[in-house]
Amino acid sequence: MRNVAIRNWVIGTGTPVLLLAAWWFLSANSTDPFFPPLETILIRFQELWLFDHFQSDVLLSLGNLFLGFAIAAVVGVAVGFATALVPPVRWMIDPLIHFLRGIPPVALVPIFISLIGFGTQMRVTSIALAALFPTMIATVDGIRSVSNDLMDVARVYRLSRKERVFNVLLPAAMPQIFSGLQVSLQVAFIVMIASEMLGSSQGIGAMTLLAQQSFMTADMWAGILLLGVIGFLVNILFSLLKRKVLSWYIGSRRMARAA
Amino acid sequence: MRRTIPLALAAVLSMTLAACGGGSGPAAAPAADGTTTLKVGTIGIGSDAGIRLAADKGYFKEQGLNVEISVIANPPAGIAAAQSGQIDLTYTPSIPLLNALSQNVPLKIIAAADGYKDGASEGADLNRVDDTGLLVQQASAINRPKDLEGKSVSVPARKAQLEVTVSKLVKDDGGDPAKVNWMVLDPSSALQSLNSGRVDAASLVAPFTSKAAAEGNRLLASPGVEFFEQGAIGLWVAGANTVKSKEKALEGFKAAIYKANAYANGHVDEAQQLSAEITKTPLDVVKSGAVNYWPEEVRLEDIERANKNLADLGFLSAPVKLPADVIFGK
Repeated sequence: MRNVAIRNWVIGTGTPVLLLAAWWFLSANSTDPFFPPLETILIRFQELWLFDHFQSDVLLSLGNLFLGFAIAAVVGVAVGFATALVPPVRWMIDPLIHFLRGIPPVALVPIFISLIGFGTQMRVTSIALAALFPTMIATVDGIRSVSNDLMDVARVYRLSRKERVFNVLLPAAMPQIFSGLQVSLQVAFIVMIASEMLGSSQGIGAMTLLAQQSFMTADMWAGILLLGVIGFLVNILFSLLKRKVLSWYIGSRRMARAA
Repeated sequence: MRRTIPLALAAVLSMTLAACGGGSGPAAAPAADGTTTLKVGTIGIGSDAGIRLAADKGYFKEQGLNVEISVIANPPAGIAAAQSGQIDLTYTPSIPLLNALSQNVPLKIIAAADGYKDGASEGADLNRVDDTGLLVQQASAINRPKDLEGKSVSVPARKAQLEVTVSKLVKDDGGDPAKVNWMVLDPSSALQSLNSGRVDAASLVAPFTSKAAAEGNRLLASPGVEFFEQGAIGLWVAGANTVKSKEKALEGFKAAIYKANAYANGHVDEAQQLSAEITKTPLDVVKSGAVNYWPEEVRLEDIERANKNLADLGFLSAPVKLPADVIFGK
């Protein structure tokens, strides 16, 4: 059991390292303008992001990402609860939700521009709206799958509506809500980049796009690399948070498996 | 957590594979009937009437060519596709071409696609020759390019033709282009933002220049012709590998295009009809804007003028050293 864990860890970290090494050596003498040596890319990475454009572009993008994601998370869970618990609300907005979620969020960016301009609000709105649906739908599913036994017990104990929502339904739906949040986070990341294609050219996505269009390929690769690294780190952070919040659930699952 | 590792792996792997893939274009292989196929990327603007005429009038066929035209997203994407051999030729204005050459992307100019007649910049009605325009609201306090300092100005893309040409206007007028707040907007958003006052000025390309004027905006300047003065601007460009493998076909392409360009200049009404079809614009809007000009040669001095201007404005750290054979067949 222990050995398997170590082996998995070695495979998990070793393979990216090997691939990076392969990239380094294979690209070392490249003269192809579109595929510069990894060394050049890393030098530009350091020059651009550590820390020349860190505050003006990296923090700006991440700020939009987290603000949009936070709005999506709160609104998504709240609307999800309303939809699942209040039938008239469900009848009212269910068709609308399924209509809206089918539209690629990136396609909405031009509409937002005409409605609210192309400043930070547009970017945050696009991110929030796109990231809303996975969380909301997961919340609805999570609440609907709460077992009737649990609700019966809550009724027997004469829990108030508020107690039922916050002490029974929310924790019970939490594992599914978190799966929804994880998908929302990925969607938010994509829309963060897409929303920077228009408006003032600030942000990681905008800088990477500009580098691509002016054939500064090393800068472009540096931007892609940064996006990859940020995506990776954000995912790790999210997993840590999830493990903390859902520790009771992960523990109970482990117990159930062991039994 | 464990699920994220394969994803990261896939990303690195695909990057590595992409890094390994070389850019070898398809070799010239005439089909059974002796015709060679050339794939050409255009951006779907009014001056595409030139290449459309070459196809419609059979000029390509006369040269033993089968030309497949496809629409590309923007000139840099077309240049990347042409360099890698995905397409044989692409349309690009001289500025993206110079940007690419400055980064050692091996490209050759095959023929002229559009531009300005000699002496165009000395004419009275610049907006009749320049299909680009800088527009402000009718009542705007902006009365000269220098007034753009501190104002927001829309451009279709950063560091591309419109930003460069408007920068020159600002600088020539004694202003500092670095103080302009450039906003990237697609043409229809730009026009809407100009009308609603979200941007102070919009730099537009036909047919949006005419649309903006028709909606009551004021033309402040014609940045294209003031920057380039005369000669070829839009160019048909091929990757150096394609030039090696399809030299004869490209000679045919050049001959057919110049025949079509001459025809277009002589039959402006017919060409404008095609422009209206290509850009899906009412014919009267096309006719109210600039009249396209299709040059019949590319002169090195015209390219060098743009090159020098780019360096003067700081878009290039120094003018690109153009290879002697950068213009095909010269």
